[in-house]
Amino acid sequence: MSKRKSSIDKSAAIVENNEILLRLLCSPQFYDEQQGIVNIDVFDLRMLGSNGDIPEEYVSLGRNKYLNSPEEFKKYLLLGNIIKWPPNEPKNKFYGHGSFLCQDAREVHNMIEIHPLLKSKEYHIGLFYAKSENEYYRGPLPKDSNLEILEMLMDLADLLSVQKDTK
Amino acid sequence: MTIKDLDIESTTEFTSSPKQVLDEIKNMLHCALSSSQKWLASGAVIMSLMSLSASPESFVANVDTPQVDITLSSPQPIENPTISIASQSANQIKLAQKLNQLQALEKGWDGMNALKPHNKAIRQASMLISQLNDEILRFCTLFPSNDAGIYLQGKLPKGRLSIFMNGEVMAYIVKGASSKLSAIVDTNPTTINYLNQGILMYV
Repeated sequence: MSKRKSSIDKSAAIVENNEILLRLLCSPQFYDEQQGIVNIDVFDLRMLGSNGDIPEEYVSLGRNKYLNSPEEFKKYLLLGNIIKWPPNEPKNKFYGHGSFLCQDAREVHNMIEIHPLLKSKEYHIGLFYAKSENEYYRGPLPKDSNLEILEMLMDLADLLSVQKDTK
Repeated sequence: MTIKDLDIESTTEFTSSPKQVLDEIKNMLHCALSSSQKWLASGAVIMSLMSLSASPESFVANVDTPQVDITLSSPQPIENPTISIASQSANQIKLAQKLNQLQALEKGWDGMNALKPHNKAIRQASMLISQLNDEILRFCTLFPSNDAGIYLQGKLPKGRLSIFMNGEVMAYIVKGASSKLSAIVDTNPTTINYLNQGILMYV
């Protein structure tokens, strides 16, 4: 994996440990209502871009403290509604969101870093997985060869308190 | 369809030679399996044929036993033979249905560019849920991964379970309050049996 310039805004204020953070659950496949289990893929790094050829460097999160009015919160959740679903999957729509404390996530594993992002709206931050100094994992994570990473994803998913927002 | 249906319980129509009895049974099974439901034959029948070849005398003894009832599966067509399970419990049926749903997912199921679950991973998950203990499966569900794999995840009474299947190997973690089991292994009856024993300690 080659080093590259990170998306982290090092000039911005750090994310406080007691902050409540949000993760959009942009698919019904991310949560089993009957069993109350969150898909650990919620915290994996994905492939982005129109051709799916750009590996994601961070998991996108919302900062609850900047979403304290119903209008702002609704606006944040609407990000889940602008996603383009496969045309033959009409039931496959925005699902909801999960919340957790920044400190709890950081305590899961020391490779987890949560930073403000360059050129980002203030409520938008990223959860990074440090591979070494100034080097971060890019998606998807090697879950099939690194048990430490599989365990980390499992522990992160367990932190989520899920709330359903399906339209 | 069962062996009973093929009317091979009675030995009266067979000759006295075990080899001839074996050939007769093989022929009858071959006829049945050559029909349009050939693909419905379960692994149990294949295993039986293998054991026949190895020891025809022992099979003749089994044929005389009225309890012989090897299920070949329902004669009704099923939509996807790769994820049918021979003797299903309610939990296995529920998970098989979930697996069917995952197999039907299209690329982009996460709203981005998540890949469609790979057929190899689907078959791997099918094998796993057909052999895991029902006391474990009742606490579990299946999920897709963005890179075409399948997760089996569970909230167990004494811990949590995550198994990731990529179509070739499975990486698993069972984690309790003060202990955990984890490994990356091939998916076969031996490793699944070991997994059963390990996970049951957390149920």
